[in-house]
Amino acid sequence: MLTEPSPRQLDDALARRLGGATLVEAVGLTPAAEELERMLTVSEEIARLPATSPDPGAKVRVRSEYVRSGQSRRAAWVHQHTLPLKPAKHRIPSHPFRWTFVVGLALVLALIAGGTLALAAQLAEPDGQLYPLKLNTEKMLVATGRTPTGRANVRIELATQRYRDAEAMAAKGKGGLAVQSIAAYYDQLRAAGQELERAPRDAGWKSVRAQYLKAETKQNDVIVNQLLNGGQKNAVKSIQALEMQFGKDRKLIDAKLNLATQPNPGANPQPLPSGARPQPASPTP
Amino acid sequence: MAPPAVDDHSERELILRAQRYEADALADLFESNFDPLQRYVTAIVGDEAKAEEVLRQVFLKALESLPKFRRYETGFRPWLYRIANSILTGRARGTAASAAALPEGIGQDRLRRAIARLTPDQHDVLCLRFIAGLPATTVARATGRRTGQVLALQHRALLALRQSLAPEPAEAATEAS
Repeated sequence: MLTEPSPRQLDDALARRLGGATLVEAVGLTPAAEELERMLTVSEEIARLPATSPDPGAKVRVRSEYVRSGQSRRAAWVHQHTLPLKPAKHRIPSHPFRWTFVVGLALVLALIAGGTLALAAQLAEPDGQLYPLKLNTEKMLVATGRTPTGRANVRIELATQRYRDAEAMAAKGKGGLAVQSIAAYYDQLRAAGQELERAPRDAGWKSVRAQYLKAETKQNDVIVNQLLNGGQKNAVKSIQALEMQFGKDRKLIDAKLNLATQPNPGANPQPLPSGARPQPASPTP
Repeated sequence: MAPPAVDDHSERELILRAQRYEADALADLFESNFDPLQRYVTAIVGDEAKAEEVLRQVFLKALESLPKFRRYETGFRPWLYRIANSILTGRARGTAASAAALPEGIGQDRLRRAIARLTPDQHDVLCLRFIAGLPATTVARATGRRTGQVLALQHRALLALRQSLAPEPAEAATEAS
């Protein structure tokens, strides 16, 4: 049984042999010398295996097929790696982005414009162009009330606003618009009373009812006097008629709301003596 | 046989162009590698017709695998040798299945048959080391192994060959008498 050399011993011996050492020198004095010598011999036989001289015919044939295959692969490669079109220097944003931007900008502008308009409308008076918009907005405000008590509360506030409108119109000598505002004032009060009739009688209801009572007892003295000063007698008559009508309705509403009807000192004012100047009245608190 | 140039910048450029299948780069690679590869394959196969068939397959396979080539530091030729080894071991496995034992023969034919019976790894290392004449470190880089693994494979391959080529006991007795 021969002793086998280690891989490192074999490689060292191969290196010495390649360096010009004889077989005996390359193997050296090692227990595995005999086996090592045989392995070296085999390796040298392998290295001596004859390679025939290059055959020009074989080379031409192999090259021909190689070149053909290379050309077809080149065509496929070019097809797969076609350069993309050069993009424009200043690219226009893609359609989705452009539309998002435009719609977003339009929304922002609309919000700004809408907000400005709504604010302007809230400050409008009956002789202003935005006044109809103000009234429509108020209708929407009433519609947002979820309970009868809530809606009654909103209507009472709107009635108060109409009363102020009437005062403003009277001050400007616009009798017709003052009459319209007073009519709207009473309409809002009637509607508020109807809402309160339907509403459950809780603490909130009582609070709103107190506000209703305060609103329905407003006096029209200041308005009437201003209209009289402006020579708007027809308007005064109309207001007095509206006042009388509401006085009747009010009794019914008050009865349903368990309210004792308060006398309205401003109702049915006595006609002023001809030629007498009305005294300026202090504003209703 | 001189080892191929490694870390050659111009060869790297050539390979990169060949990976785009540029005709002149492919032609240059063919011209610079065909003759050594032919000698290598013929030495292993021992038959010119078989060698030509193997060479044809080697270059076509190289064209196919060229885009995946990344071993620029070990050079292009060892890569071609390895393709050849892969094809040869495939052939060898096909023939070895039908050969129960080494047929009697003398010299180089017997040696070639013994080489063909090695495992693919042993065949790969043995041919690169002793037929292509590459240093163990280059073989290690080309095959993606550590040098120690290459030395071990070389050792096992030579041992297996030595045992395969040892004369039969009866034959040895005859020779002794």
